[in-house]
Amino acid sequence: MSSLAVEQLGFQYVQAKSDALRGITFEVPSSSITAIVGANGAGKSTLCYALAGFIPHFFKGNMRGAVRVNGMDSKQTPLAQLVTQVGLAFQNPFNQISGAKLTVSEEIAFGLENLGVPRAEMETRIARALELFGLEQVAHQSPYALSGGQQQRLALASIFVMEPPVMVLDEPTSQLDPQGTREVMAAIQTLAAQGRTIVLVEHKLEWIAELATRVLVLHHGELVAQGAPREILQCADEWGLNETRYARAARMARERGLVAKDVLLPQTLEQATNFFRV
Amino acid sequence: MNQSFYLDRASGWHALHPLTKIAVAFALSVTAFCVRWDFISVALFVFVVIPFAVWGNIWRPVLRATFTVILPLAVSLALIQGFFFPGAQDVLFQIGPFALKREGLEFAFVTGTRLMLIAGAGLLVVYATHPADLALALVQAGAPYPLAYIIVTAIQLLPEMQARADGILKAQQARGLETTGSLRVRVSALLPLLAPLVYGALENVQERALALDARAFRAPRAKTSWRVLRDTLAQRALRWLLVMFSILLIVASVFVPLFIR
Ligand SMILES: Nc1ncnc2c1ncn2[C@@H]1O[C@H](COP(=O)(O)OP(=O)(O)OP(=O)(O)O)[C@@H](O)[C@H]1O
Ligand SMILES: [Mg+2]
Repeated sequence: MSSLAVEQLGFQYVQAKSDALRGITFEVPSSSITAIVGANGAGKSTLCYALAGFIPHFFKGNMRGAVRVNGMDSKQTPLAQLVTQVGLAFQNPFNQISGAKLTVSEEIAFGLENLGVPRAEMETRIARALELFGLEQVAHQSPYALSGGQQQRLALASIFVMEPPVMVLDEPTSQLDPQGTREVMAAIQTLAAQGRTIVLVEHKLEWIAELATRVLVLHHGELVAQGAPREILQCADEWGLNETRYARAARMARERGLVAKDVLLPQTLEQATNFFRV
Repeated sequence: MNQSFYLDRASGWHALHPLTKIAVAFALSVTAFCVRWDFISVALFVFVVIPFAVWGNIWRPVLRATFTVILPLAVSLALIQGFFFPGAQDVLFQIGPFALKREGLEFAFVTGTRLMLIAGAGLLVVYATHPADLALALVQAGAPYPLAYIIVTAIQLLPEMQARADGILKAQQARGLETTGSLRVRVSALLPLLAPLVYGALENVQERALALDARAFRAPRAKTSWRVLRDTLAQRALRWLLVMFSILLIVASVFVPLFIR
């Protein structure tokens, strides 16, 4: 079953000279991690906005095609209802802190308050979110006092707690150091293991190769490739992406004739180990 | 980095309903304006604000913040009004062509102490009231939810803005920007300081708005609240009395030349 279905989606921002997205069609299967990659300006964020209903409800412009969220047409469904189906988290965790709350627990509660969730139910949901994202220790601290990795996990927890079946994460680790990135990726993996559907925009291809079920490649607003990570990432450099260090090492080895030409380049540590064994 | 004025203390003053605290601050400010006795603000400050601040275990920050805000104001008030108060006669002493006059100083004293009282009463509320409780109280009193949110984030953002301004100031000093020195130099140094502050604020507006919507901020539903406000019949009665008292005082001061002057 697919949670999200995108049909011939196109979008042009108001005042923009050209389309940010053109003729995009794909489906996101439930309980999967779908990665979106592409160079700067390829349209990844724009696609995220469309998946979560912010296009057309927040960004006015010229939208073509359709996005279906669990069968509902995003154009016909109010944003307040869509956000309970598709949760969207952004790049900069600092901008996602509501600014009206003093502690991490209260910050997580914000979305539930807005949805009118009864207090008794909030308690269990907040406790679960704190645990899942490893925030119990800082539950009573100010959101502003957290590290970057913790703030990003707070941003994810604040969306998670609203229990949208699909979570769209736009570069959630771009502001983070390797340790923070590891923390957030672990949380994402747990989410997927619990049956959430994840759409993840991410530049760090090593992580995509490790976690993603499928990869979509955006290039100048068009969907130019989709499939399993190992196959798709073979031609990463053609789309202006930084190939993984494993692929780079393997490519150099291949150019020097150290390995066979017809084997797929490895994208993860495990694949690399096997690659160099043969 | 402390991101809020609120100081979490287990005091009886803290435990009061936000509206009760606001009513106290309001009644104090009204009294300072309506009673025509030069020392009313000082008296209220010493006999009400300070005891309440001690009760709330926040007297240190309340006094510190009040005087940090008021002292520069008071000095400039005293100088400007002391020398240039219109119609003043009673010359205390003369410096060249300028005469320091008693009426001007008196006016500066009354105005300065009023501001001190208002600042003190306001800080008494802000330091002892959780912003979320304030928002909740406002909404329960009938304020629109977005308005309550804006008030609360504004209170919250002040220390954040200050922290950011400090950061920018330090960064610009490090790059050799003049933040000490003559007035002209310092004023011209202000622009590059403000630019990133304002720009930084604007730059984030769209993403902040998106993030709020992602948290269902504008969902057309009855909101619930994670924090619970405690209110009592006694407090409701007290608030009602304070408001009636303030209104009476305002009305009376219009018609009766109240008290001494
Ligand atoms: N609000 C907007 N108004 C007009 N044009 C926009 C707007 N936001 C993005 N664009 C344009 O749309 C195109 C796609 O931008 P988008 O932000 O979706 O790319 P991206 O893949 O997310 O890039 P990045 O990797 O830098 O985040 C770009 O050409 C960009 O300049
Ligand atoms: Mg982007």
